[in-house]
Formats: sequence, C-alpha cells, structure tokens
Amino acid sequence: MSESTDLLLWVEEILAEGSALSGVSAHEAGLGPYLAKIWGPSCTESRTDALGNQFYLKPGRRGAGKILLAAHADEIGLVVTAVDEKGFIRFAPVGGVDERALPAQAVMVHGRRDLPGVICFAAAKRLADKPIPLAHLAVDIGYGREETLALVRPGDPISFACEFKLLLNHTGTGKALDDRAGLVVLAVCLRDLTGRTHGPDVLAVATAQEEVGCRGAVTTAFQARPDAAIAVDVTHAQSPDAKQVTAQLGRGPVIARGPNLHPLLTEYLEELAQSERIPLQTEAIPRATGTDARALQLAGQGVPTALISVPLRYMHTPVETISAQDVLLAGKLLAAAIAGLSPDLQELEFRY
Amino acid sequence: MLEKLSRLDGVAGQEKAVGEAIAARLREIGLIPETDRMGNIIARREPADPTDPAAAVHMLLCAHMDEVGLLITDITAEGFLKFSPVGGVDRAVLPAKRVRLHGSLPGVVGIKAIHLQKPEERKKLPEIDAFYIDIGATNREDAEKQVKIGDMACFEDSWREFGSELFMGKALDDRAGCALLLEILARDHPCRLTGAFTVQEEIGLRGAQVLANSVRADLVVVLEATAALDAPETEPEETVTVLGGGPVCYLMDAGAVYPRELVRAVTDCARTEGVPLQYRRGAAGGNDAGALQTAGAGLRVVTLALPCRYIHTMHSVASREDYRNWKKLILAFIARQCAAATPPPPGKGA
Amino acid sequence: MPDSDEKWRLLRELTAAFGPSGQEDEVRRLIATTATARADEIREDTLGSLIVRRRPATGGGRRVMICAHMDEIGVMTTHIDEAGFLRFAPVGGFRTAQMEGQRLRFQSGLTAVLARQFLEPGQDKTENRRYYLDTGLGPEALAAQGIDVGAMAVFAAPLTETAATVSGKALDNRIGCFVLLEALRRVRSRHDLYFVFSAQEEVGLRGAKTAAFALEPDAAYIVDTTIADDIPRNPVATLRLGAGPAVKVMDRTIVVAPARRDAVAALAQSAGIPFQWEIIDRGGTDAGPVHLSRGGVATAGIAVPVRYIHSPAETAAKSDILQACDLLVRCLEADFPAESG
Repeated sequence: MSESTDLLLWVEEILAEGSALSGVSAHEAGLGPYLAKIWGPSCTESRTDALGNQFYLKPGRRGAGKILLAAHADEIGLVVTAVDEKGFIRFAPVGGVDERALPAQAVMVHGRRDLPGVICFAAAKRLADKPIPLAHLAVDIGYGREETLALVRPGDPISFACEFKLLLNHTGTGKALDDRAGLVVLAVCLRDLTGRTHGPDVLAVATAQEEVGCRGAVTTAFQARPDAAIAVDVTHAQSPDAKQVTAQLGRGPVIARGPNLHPLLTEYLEELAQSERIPLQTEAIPRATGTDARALQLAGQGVPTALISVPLRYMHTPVETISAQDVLLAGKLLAAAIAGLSPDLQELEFRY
Repeated sequence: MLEKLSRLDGVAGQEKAVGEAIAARLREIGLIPETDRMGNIIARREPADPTDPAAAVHMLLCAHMDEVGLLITDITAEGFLKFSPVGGVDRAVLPAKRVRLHGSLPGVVGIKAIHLQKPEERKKLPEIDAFYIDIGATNREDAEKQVKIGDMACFEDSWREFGSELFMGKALDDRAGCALLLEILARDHPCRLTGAFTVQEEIGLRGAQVLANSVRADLVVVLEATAALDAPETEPEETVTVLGGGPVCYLMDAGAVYPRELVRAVTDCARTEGVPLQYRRGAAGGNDAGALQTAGAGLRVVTLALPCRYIHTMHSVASREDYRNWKKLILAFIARQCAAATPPPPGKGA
Repeated sequence: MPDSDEKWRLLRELTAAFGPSGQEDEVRRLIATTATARADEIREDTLGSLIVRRRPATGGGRRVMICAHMDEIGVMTTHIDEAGFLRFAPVGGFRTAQMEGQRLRFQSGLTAVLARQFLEPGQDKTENRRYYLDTGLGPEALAAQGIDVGAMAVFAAPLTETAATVSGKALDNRIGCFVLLEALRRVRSRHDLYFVFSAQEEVGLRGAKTAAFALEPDAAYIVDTTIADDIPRNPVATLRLGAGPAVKVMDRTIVVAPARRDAVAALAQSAGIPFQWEIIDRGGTDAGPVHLSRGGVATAGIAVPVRYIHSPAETAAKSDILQACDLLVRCLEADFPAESG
C-alpha cells in the first residue's frame, strides 16, 4: 500500500499548494506555474487562450478521438470597488459569496503588492439577528487613506487568506478547494495515465471564469471540439445543517445523473467504478448543472459530457473541506476510464 | 513576548499554557510566581530602595490571561462538535472560521453552503446552537478519540505584522496587557509593585473577584485591551476609541466609575510626558477594575488600555506606536504616583 | 422639631445638590456640613461614601449601619462635536428615550436640553445614540466652563411642594439622606450608629458594599425610595402615596429575614405609624450587598414610595417621609436585636 500512501501524501501536498494560490475569476494566470508542475510532466504541449483557459495535451493513439477533461482554475472572491473616506476598502462579490461568512475574515488584497487584510464592520450598526449586509462590510489593510489609495485600485481582486490544513482522516480544509481539488484530480489522472496506453487524446483544461457563469468552458468547448468531455468539480457533502444532501465526505467521488449529462458516458463511468472497486456516490441534478458541464454539453453539435465531483462541505467559504481520499479516487477513476475507452468513442453516439 | 503570548491558547478556565509562559518569564526576571487556587498568578517586586518614602506605596497592576473561545458541549453521531461561547463572542464572526483544540487539533466552524440556503435563511444569522465544529471525524466514536465534552476550542492563531506599524493576532485582549505587565515587572520601581495575571475575566471578572479577597493596594492599575470602534460607517459619536490615538483612560464602564482625580492625574501625566491620551467614550463593558474597586473596603482603580480593533475576533489589530505610548504612560504614571506619595491615601476603611 | 418650612428647606437643598454616581462631592459636602453638629466622627471612604458616626452615651450597644445612597442618576459626556453638541452615556437607570426635551444641568450650573437627532424613517428612536445635549455653547466655551469628556449632568428641576407632596429630581434618594439626617438629629440610642451616605448605588450598589465591609456592623437599616404604583388604571396598585413608609419584604437583591421585617413592623404598629409592605420584583437597593457583607449582616429596609421614579418630577408624600423618620428613630432606639411582638 505504500505507493498509494505516497500518492495520498502527494495529493495532500498539491492540494495545499493549490489552495494557497490566488485565482479569483479572470485572474487565473497566477496558476500557470502550478499547472506546469502538476500537469506538465505528463503532457506534451500546453497553451493559454484569450479568456485565460489553460490547455495541456496528453496525446493518445492517432485517430482515436479526443476527450476533454475540464476543471476550473478560478475561485470566488471579492473585488475592490472603492477606498472610503477613512481608508477602508469597499468591495463587491465575485461569484457566489456568502456575506454571512465574511465578518472578521482574513483576506489578501491583490493591489500593487499583496496586502493582508481583515474584513470589518461597524459594531454599532450590527443588528442582533441579521447578517451584516455586504455593502456595510469593508477591508482594513492597516494603512491610512492616502497610502491605501497608492496601493489599491478599484478592480483589484481580493481573495480569502486561509492556509490549507489537514483535519482528521485525510480531510483537508482551506479556501478555493472549489475547484483546486478538480485540478488535483486531473493531476492524479494524468500521472496515472503516464506509461499506460490510451486511445483518445486527453486534453486537460483549467478553465477560467467558471464562478461567474462558466464562461471559460464556453470558449474551451468551441475551440477544442472534443468527442467527449468530463467536467471535474466539487459538489456539496452532507453536514449537520445540510442533511438533505446525499453525498458524504470520504465515501468516494460523486457522479451526476440528469439531462445535462450523457447517459451512456455516465453509465460507462459507473460500471468502470464497479469493476475497479472504486466507491462511487450518485447525485441527481434535474437541470443544467452549476458546473462547466452545462457549457461543454452545448458546444458545436453537442458534446457527450459527464460530471465527476469531489464531495465538499461549506462550499464558497474559506473553510471548504474535502477528503484527499476522494480526490485520489476520482483521479484513479478518470484514468481507468480513459485507458479503457474504445478507440473511436463511437459507442457514445445516440442511436434511436 | 506579546507575539508568543498571542499565539498561545487560553480560553477562560483553561489558561494553563499562557500561565506557564508567564510564570517562566517571571522566573527569568528574578521574580517568584505565586498562584492562588483560581489560577491567578501573582508576582511581587519589592521597592528598589526600601528607605525611599515611596517604598511604603503599594501598587497593584492587573492584566488578564484568558481569552474568549468556545466550549464543546456535545458531539453529534456524525462526529461534529457542538459548542457554547465562552465570554463575549459575536456569532456574526463565527461562520467559516478556523479553530483549534488542545493547541494543535484544527477544526472549522461550518456553515451551510450559500447554494443550499433558502432565501429566508440568508436573511438571518443562525442561532448559536445551529453552529458546529468539523474536525474531520467520521463519527462520534472517532471524534471522541480526540475530544471530550468540556474541552475548549480557541480561535486559530493569526499573528502577523500588519499594515503601517500595526500588528494582528488573536487574544490581544488581554495578552497585550500581560506582555506590558511583564515588561513593567522586569524593571525597578520606587514603590512596592504587585503584578497580577488574572483568569476568567471574560466570563465575569471571576479571577479578579478572588484576587480581590486577598490583595490590598493603595492604587490599582488595570492594563486592558479595549475596543477601537473606528470601523467604517461608525459615526463620530459612536466612536469609543481609535487606533493610533494613544493609550486609553477609562472614565466609566458597566463595572466602575473611575475616580475623577485619578483620571485627572493620568491626564496630567500624559500631557507632561507628551503622550497622546484618549478617553474611552462609552460606558459599555467592564473589566477586572469593577471587581477590584468594590473589593473589601474598596480600592482606588484606574484602567489604562491599548486600543485594539476587532477585539474578541480571530484578527485583532493594534498599533506599535500605541503600545509604546501605553508603556511610556504607565511607567511615568507609576513614577509620579511614587513621587507624590504621602501614603496611605485617605479612606482605607475601618 | 423645626417648623415645616425649615424642614423642607433641607430637602430642597439636598435635591438641588449635584451628585451623579461617582461625582457626589457636592451633595457629600452638603450632608457633611449638615451632620457636623451631631457627629462624633465623619469620614469619606475610597468609593466616595460619607460615613457619619454617632457614639452612644454609654457603652454596651451594638454597631448599627444606617444607609441611604446619596447619588442620583444622570448622564456622562462621551463626545463633543464641532458645533458643541454633546453625546452621552447614561449613568444609572437614565431612560434617555423618555427624557427628550428635558433640561439637564452640569455641575458648573450650565443647563442643556436633551434632544433627538434627525432620524431616517425606520430608525430606532429608543437607542441612546440617537440623542444629544444642546447647551447653546460651542466647544471652546464648553471647555472654558470645564465641561469635557467625562463631565456628568443631572436633571435640572427645582423641588416643588404642595401641602401634601413634594416633587422634583433626585428624591431617589435624597429623601433617604433627609430621613437619615433627621434621625441623626433626633435619635437617642444606646447603639454605636454609623450613618452611611453611600456613593454609586445607581450604577450597581457599589458604595454600600465597601462601606459595609469596612464597618462590619451587627445590624443594618437601609433607607431608600420605592416605586409607588398607585396610578390611574392600575388594577393591582400595591404601594400608595400617603399610606405610610414601606417596610421592605423583598426586591431583586434581598429577601429580608422575616424576623427583621416583622420587628420593624411591630415598632411601627406600637408607635401608631401606618406602614405598607414593599414587595417589588424589579430594582435593587443597598440592602443587597449589605446583607451579604462578610459573614452576613442582619438587614432591614424602610422605603418611601415615590411616583415617576428616575424622572425630573419624582413625587412623594410629605407624611410618608416624616413617618419614615419616626419609624427609623424607633428602630434605632429599640433594643437589639429588636424582636417582633
């Protein structure tokens, strides 16, 4: 089991590294060196497009088609809107930010340099049972107004500052695990495929701007014209205040079923999980999913698309929590799936 | 020293780690730390020159060791920890924060993801009993290997240099007071000085109440960290103290009305020393002074505090300049009280 | 006994004196001056309470503490803006939102009106921070008068009289001070009497706590005012103006030992002094900390009913006040411990 233990340690290590990076939507460029490190060694070429999507290619056999694996590079965050008369930084949300998780939160303001800050509010204005509205929160970076104006401009991104930490049982907590966990799943998959033969070309994409409307995935699918696509993201895991959620942390990756997802590709992944003895949980989504899969499916003439997710608690907070085990298993499942795909992907065509 | 103390965990009732660090430092500076059965630490420094008239003056300086935190009250079947706040914790600052138990075991205060919240849920702050800590345990049994009911969770340490000549950390209330008191005790003074590091201030001045049963002094100086309410959208009349405005002299709080003549003495001292001084322009809250003032036949108290933003959160912020001025003011105040000494002051009871 | 005008002149002076909690010096001086002639010893303690001792002619008596607080509610200045408007914090149970339009007075004599700032629709007008004081002076003129952050103000309301009642500010508890001074003047006791005019009652019963600790009395009588609730449409009025002083049974801080309260009641009965029972579920008095001092002190309470307590027009019946004096003198002249029956 030592190979697997080493692999788990590696997963934890690169999760920590990814979580520490900042990539608020449209500011994903900083993840370049990280991707080169975790994806690069398995791939032959890479490029970045106009929207900031980062592509890595691992070629298969000639003429065996192309499968696209997408995990988004960006994270939710905040953006500077103004510096107020006292020198505090006012901000707006980027993506689905929960204002209730903001008071007293540590952040990093990416101004002329990285500036640590803390989110503050007027205690005198605080109402007992009400969250403090986002418009009444501000970031304190500890400088006076003039210095702040010289250091920070409207439009500068602000990310959470919360160092990745391991909890019990290979559980990890930190910011931006949505969707750095997806990037790590792809890293595991690419590493696992190294030295194995596989039919289709594998095009791994770290998509941009998912949190603001899957924008990177739209242009990605248009350019790549894949024969099939698998989006890799995180999904909600059950917690004491979210008991209606079925997926649980530490019980394996989650496969989604529903109209956004190709039934045959999904079934294929489910069967493979069974034969590979990889535990797999299932979630049902009755509409277009809130992931890159929603855009990938609609590209060109349509792309058979599946969605593999890592269960995660407290999504879109600085304490997102996942199991490194689940990440590892999702990567292995993907690798096994790609290695086992038939050369021409024809089986994915709908036949009526 | 302040950095070291801020990084230690000492929720009210479990101040051991902080107490050990303080006791060790006291021994380093040649004092003998005594403890009472509450856990208060008392250190006495004899006058530099016993023949000096000021040697008859006895001053008590107090700072509290404890901080606010969370007490584990239950472990759910799924392995999550339920808790009650210890001391004044605003539940608005709890969601999505990191905590630690036993100084090393990390956990997070979870909150249902925004996607899963119903619109009416988003308009309300969850009640405190809806919160829980996630330590990654798989179930109750797994959690119980690490945690017992009654254990304390502490905010995760956040010490760092911050902004322009500021510093950030947890528990600056009142590790700042502890650090300064250690500095003061390391020096010689003309008067007899007792330094008291109290426990359980945050849950009702409980350490100081016991301290008050045994200690008598001509003058008590409480070293506190107080809220700098100068956040955005705070109106001028809601501003209690400001960061960078200098040390703070209390006028009145929920526990004490500070004697006018001592407030004037502090004010004069600050003026003479050229130290900026601000009054605490609010009357809410209280500190050990409340328990000490009404102890026995009564003690003369003054509270001098360091202004501190975001007190009782994981990220308190204070100013180096304020700290320096605070120290300067207190040292000068001690010296002036000694110089003016014709002890004992009137009204020492029957 | 001096004539009526002379008597009420003392109460008028007592209520006029400035004495918010913690800044009682003016009222303390007045009481000390008044008490001097009959005092064997006068001193002030650390918290500002005034302790007036009256020794017995012969030995053998007990040490008795008689306590009335001399402080009154008010406000403390916290901010002065560039126009000279003052913001404040309540000192004691000062109900700011109900005091809009009232006149307040600083120790210098300067008066101010308590007013409400401009409010947006929906803003809560019950919060203290919505109100300010207007003295008509700018910041420099205020500073010249010595009014700075920390300066306190009290109601500015002179005592008014009818044949039956008095009305004004600070009757809570200058009535108690008046009763103690009157008792001091008249009493012939075999006990060692300590009349304590306590400080800082309104902010948490503080002065009496330390005084009791220092004095270690064998017994204590607390004289204070209580809430008269004989107002229109109250179906369950229990304390009435003019029905005699109230003998304390309980408040939020004490349940008086039955033997003690019955002893006081019996003394009233035997002297033909009407009385009522004081049972209130809000408010506390110095009786609380005093009866818990050291190993416990046998404590009883006498209260004068007052309508509109903590307002500038606190109103009490003259007869209740005079009868409270009579009752207190009886208590102090009785043997100790005064048994019932």
